[in-house]
Amino acid sequence: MLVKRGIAVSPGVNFGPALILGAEDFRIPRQFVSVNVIDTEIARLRSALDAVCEEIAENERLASDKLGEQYGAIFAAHLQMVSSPRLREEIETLIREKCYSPEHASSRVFRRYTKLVQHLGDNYLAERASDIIDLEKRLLKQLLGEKREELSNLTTPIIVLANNLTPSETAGLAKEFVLGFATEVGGRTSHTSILAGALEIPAVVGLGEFLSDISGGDMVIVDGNNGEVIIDPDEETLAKYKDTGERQRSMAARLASRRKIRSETKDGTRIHVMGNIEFPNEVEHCAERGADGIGLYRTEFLYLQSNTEPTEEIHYEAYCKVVQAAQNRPIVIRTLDLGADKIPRGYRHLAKEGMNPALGLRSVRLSLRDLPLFKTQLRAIFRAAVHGDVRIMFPLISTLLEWRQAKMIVGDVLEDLEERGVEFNSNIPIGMMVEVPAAALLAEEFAEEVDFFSIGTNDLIQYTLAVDRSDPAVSPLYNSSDPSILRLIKMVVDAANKKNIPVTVCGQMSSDLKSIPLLAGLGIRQISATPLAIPEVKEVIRHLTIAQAEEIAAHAMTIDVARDVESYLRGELYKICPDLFDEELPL
Amino acid sequence: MQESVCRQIVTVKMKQGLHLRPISEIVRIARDYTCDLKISNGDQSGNAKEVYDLLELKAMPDTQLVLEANGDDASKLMEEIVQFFESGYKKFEELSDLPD
Repeated sequence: MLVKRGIAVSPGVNFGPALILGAEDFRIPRQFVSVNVIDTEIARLRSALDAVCEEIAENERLASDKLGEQYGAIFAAHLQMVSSPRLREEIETLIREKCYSPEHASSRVFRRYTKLVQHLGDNYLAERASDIIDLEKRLLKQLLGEKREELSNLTTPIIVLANNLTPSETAGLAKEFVLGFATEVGGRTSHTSILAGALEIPAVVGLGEFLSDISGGDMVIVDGNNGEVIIDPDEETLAKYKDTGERQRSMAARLASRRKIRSETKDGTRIHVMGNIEFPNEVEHCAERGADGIGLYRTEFLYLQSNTEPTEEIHYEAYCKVVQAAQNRPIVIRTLDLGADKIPRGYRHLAKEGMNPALGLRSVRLSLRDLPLFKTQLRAIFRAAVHGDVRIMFPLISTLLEWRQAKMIVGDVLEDLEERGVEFNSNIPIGMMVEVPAAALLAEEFAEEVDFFSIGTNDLIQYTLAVDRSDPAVSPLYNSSDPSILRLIKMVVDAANKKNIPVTVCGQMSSDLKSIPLLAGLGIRQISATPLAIPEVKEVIRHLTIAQAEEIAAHAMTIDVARDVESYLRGELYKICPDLFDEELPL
Repeated sequence: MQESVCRQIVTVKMKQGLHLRPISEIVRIARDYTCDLKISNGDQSGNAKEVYDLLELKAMPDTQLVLEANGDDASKLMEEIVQFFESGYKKFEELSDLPD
């Protein structure tokens, strides 16, 4: 049993056989064979090894003929490695003594050598490990033959492990069979996190090097609550996780049964709970849980899906799907919120290497720099707004000038649409994210001009406390309960109330149950949370009175240290909903 | 024929240490002979006819290796292997710059 720690990016617990993406092009279907077929399985291994030898010998001939002998020598090395008596013996021993399938046994032996080479001093040598990985692939291909299960055609559930998932790698994956993700690198905003969130399966990223410790088919537990991945767990651990998984499912079912109950406090104040989504199909996840709408529709995935920029039609189609699924509930579409380094086309050079991307050309700054990109998206939004309650918000607005510029471009876009004679709805609310401290400080001025605020707590915390939470060295400093954050939120809510415009809180703080009484007490009446958290958020609201919430907020505002605020809020949450939360469930 | 035992010490001069390409060449040479060749790096020793044994030596540049050949053609094999460690390996340094 091996326990690895990483960053938990999508909650839940799941376990199943490992599939190593990248190294395996297909999955190893079974780990064990029965004792009475061991001899035939060994025969199968031998003929597969022979076939690989022939294949490599043929490549060697081809390479020598066409490219010269030196190239052929590369294959000669491969041939020695496959024809090695030691290799055969080791694989056969695993089959004979442990009843491993030839596929699993081969994978194990090759993995050990891969690891050996990877740890052999410098980078150059480590790269040679790919030679061994290639041999492993060839052998597995031979062993599995026609029976091999392509990734797009999986028939049984698996846990996907990878160095780092890329959209192209996951594109072909049969997603209904994926139980969880675990990756060596990546942070909260990586593709893995986004995808796992959308699929609502547990995921842990940033685990560090671990793929060479594991073979396809090994049992793996992904604990997306605690950020742990457990390889080859012992029976006791597995039983514990089975139990946790069941309890979580029954809790979810209980909450889901109450989805139609309105989200209001005990004393009858309505607090709208909406969902944050990334993909159109997530609207259903929100509706199933009784959301009052979509408070944050992130549109970045449209840009990351392919190497070309999305056309107006691609935007339009995606937005229409969301509008249709939302059935007249409001949808707040956030315009592009990516850095220049992540956008296809010619803007990468603007993202200078070594610069701090969080402070660079990203989000609305990029949109204002690349007007064709920005206008394409805006046109599609105004067109989709014909079919439902669509609203727009601009992310990362820091100055009034930026806001006014963005509004001016909206004016241009509306003129264009008018000229083109297509159907569109120009009469929709346009607001901004408050996620830069500068915007929070000037909230009163902004409130004169915007239709609504949406407080993006993730970036607001990052910029206020100057901490990148994906950096383990400083991540403890990242805390949504910091008094400075509470004060900024209060400033924004007060400004909004003064000018009578709505204010929502999105970002992870709104999915953090202990923050819900605080936010309600500060005057927040709209919350947009991750779909999974919606039933629990509603449940907390229903146990609350406004007077109680205001008292909690007032007291929290008097505490001067984040840690103390946090433990105070946690304590209050237990008092409010003692019956709802099992102690072992993460809050 | 008289059985002979040869013992020699060589230094790893390859810039990248004893990696796959030179290992492969050593295996190729050793397999041409009937005698056994044992290569040791400190406590770790392996059969020169076996790729994985040599990988496990983890021989970095400037490591001293002990060669022990045992069998009929031991002295001839030793001669060829020593020559490889002296200069023959250079051919494979150039090779390592080739794309795979």
